[in-house]
Amino acid sequence: MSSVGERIKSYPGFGVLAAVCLVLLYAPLLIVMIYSFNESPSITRWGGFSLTWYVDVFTGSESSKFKVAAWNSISIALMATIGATTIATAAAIGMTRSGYWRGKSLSFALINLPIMVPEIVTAVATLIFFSAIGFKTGYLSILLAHIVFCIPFAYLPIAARLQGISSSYEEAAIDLYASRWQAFRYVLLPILLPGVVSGALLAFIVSLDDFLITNFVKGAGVETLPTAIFGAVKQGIKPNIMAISTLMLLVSVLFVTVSWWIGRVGDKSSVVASK
Amino acid sequence: MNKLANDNESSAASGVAVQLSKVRKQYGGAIALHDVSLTIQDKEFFTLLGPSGCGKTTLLRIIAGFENVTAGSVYLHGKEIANLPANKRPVNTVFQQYSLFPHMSVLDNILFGLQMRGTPAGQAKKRARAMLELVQLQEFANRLPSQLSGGQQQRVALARALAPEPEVLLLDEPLSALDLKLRQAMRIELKQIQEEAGITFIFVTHDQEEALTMSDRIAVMSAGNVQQVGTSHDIYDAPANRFVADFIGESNLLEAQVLHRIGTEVSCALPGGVQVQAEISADATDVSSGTAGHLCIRPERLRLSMPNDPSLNVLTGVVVRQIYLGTDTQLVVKLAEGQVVQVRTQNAEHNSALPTAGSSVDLTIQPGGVRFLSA
Amino acid sequence: MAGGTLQNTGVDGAAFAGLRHRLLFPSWLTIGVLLVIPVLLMLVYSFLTKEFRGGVVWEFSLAAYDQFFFDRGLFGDEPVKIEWTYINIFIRSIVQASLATVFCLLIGFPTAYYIATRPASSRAIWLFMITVPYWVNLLIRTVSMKFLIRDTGPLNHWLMQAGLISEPFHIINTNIAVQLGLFYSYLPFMVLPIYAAVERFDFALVEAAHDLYANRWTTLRRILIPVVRPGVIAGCILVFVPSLGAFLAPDLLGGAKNFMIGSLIEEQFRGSAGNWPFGAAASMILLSLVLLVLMYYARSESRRP
Repeated sequence: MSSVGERIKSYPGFGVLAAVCLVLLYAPLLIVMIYSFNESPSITRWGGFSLTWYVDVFTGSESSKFKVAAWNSISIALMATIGATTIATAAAIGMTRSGYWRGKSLSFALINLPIMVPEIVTAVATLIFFSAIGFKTGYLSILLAHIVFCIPFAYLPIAARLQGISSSYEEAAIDLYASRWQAFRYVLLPILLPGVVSGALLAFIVSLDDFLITNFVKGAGVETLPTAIFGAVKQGIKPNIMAISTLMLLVSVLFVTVSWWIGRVGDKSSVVASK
Repeated sequence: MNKLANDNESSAASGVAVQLSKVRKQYGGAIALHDVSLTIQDKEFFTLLGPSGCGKTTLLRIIAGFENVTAGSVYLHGKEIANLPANKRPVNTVFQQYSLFPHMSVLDNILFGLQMRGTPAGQAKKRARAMLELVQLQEFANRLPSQLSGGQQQRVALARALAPEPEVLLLDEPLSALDLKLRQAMRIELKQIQEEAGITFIFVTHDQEEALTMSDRIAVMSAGNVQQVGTSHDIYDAPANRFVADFIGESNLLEAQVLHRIGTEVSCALPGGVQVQAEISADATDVSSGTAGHLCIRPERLRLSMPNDPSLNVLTGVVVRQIYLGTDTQLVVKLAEGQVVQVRTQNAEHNSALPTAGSSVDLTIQPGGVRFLSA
Repeated sequence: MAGGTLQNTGVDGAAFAGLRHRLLFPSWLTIGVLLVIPVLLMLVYSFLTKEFRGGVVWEFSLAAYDQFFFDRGLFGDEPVKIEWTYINIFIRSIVQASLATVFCLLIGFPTAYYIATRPASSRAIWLFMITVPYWVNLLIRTVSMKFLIRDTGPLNHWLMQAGLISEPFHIINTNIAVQLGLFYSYLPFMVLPIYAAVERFDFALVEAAHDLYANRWTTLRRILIPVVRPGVIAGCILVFVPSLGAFLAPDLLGGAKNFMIGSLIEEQFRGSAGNWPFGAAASMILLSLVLLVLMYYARSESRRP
């Protein structure tokens, strides 16, 4: 890399704009994080560092409501992740290991439909569907809706990794007398695992984050964390909301970091290089 | 070629490892294999040689069970296996990219086939150790494939495929990923291992040198057809047709017409009228006087001779270019008839200077050095 | 073996090819039943009569579309007049989504380019920094923005303390706040695909252009941008489509006067005041707009050399 080569590549101001971009993305989040430690109940003035609002989240008057909502969010996200990841793994193998066939692009479009249709449309359509078939909206309807929109998020990293894995691994396993199930269980799945874990983590985050679709299909009485927070925000932004937000933010960051790290470790392993 | 299509009944006879009978493979409208018939003997090192896209790998994958035949039959030691899935066939493959399971140690890779076959653990371990010894990698048993060099991975792939004692070992261009020196060393080693193991090897390659050095017999393939089956000698010295002559080694192909034929000898005339005596395959029954075809002369079978040498089979021409190649020198000679031929002479044989560009030369074809090809 | 033996051993090609239908069926079934059928049902609902307590009466009606496009109804006695209320909401949404796309492109392109031309180690860190907000809960991000910019929020507080302004700078519940929210929500969606395209770009082309006397900006315009165009278009679609149907940014930052399609639709299904056929019709119109954009994209993709 000569300095001339570097100079040709660079454009004045691009670095500044990149820095601006980062500041814009992080400033609101950081400010909410900082103010979540604000002693003062007047949420604008800084009254000194305190963990009051974090204590309030777990023990305050609204804590039971948030605990139930958090439990709903986590349990739905877990089950939706397991469902969506299983379905997506099967679909990714079916898509990447089948050569060309008629209707393949249609199948691809179908699997990715949940990210192409605007969320609000999915929300409306799902509500109408449950109402038309007389399915009582509540916990189960949220779970079903979540499985659907998590599928493409789990599918994409899994399919991407599968494309980097030569099909000759499975062929080698089958050649060495493994059944197809054994070829999947002992050979393909271990090699594919980083992709499956990435996909599952993203599905979990997407499920945990969803507000709009959940809000439509939750029915009366069942809340998840985002719908509970939305309801609370409608009454005004109170400091305990900022503490919850900070906690959720940290969970997201943790998940993305783990997913990212697994992806990198996966790429560094010999599989992709020796394909 | 038709002589290859032996009657199927004989396939059960002892000594035949794999028999392919009129195997056809079609992908939609595209035909990858045109009714290929081949008989591969037990314990034979048999090579499928041809340019990419000739169908050799497809043929190998059909024997392995990774592809179905569109029509035709595949017999393994006399038993029809066209409907047997790959994991039920006593046939193992060494893959082009080795495809060693990256998450398993060398030992676990070799154990895999034995475990899948249900070999008792103790016996499997013993067999795997023996395989490691065969490929001289005992001390690498617990390494991961990514910690091995290309040549070592290649040997693990070989050991893994040999471990379950397959009836036939299939090798899909196993040396192509290695560098030249290692590739040359592995040729000899591979041949040794085959002889030691006493197993039929079916080897796919596009590298003619590889094929010529290792094989007991070679099938030269092109465009989904087997062009010729024979030993290295047969294929090099007596190519069945222009494709084989052109694909294997270098050859000068000169248009010619048969004047008369006596047994396996023909007299031919080049377009300029020069007469050449050539050999012809006994089964080229359709060749008689008047048949048009090509003379095939290997460059090293042409000798520089004194001008006006009165003997038969002499071509005259002018040197266009002299190319020094280390052990050899190649001369590009434009014949009086206008065709251009390559002549190759060993440098060690020449005391005097070779003719330079522009000088006239006479070229004598060595006895047995020219064949007439009608196809 | 007489004749063609065309038995299927189920192992043609890759090991799992024969299982294709069984592997894909669960995803087809799930998405088919829980998304395709619901969307079709929504289309049907948009042609039904509204039930006053929410829901529908199974009776064919064009009332929803009629209400959307015409004043007092197409079938009324009066001469037909276009009703602008809802059309305006759609136009406002399209304008807002387009502006958000432009602003995201203006910041996102230089950022993506800058990241892609970093050395491998710092590039990974930059990329990670851009990816994190992408996955942080959109609701939390929008709430954070609301907290930051409202009249009594930290931004106004600091600006007043610094003496730059004497009165709170009022942006909350304006179109500007909605715009800021959209821009902020979808900025990472612009950066990532452009980054991917620039990262694959062969910088020898830039050297070739400089060698042929092009300057920096000519090279950018004539070489780089045309080559990375697919990434730019992908980024624009990833920002435009969700912006168009956005609900949180207009609802939390825009207040009652700055409705976008998302809020309009949501309102139709909120409690008993709603109008399901009308909401379904508005959703169908939004979906059609999005499909048009996606079809345009698919066509421009397939025409690429």
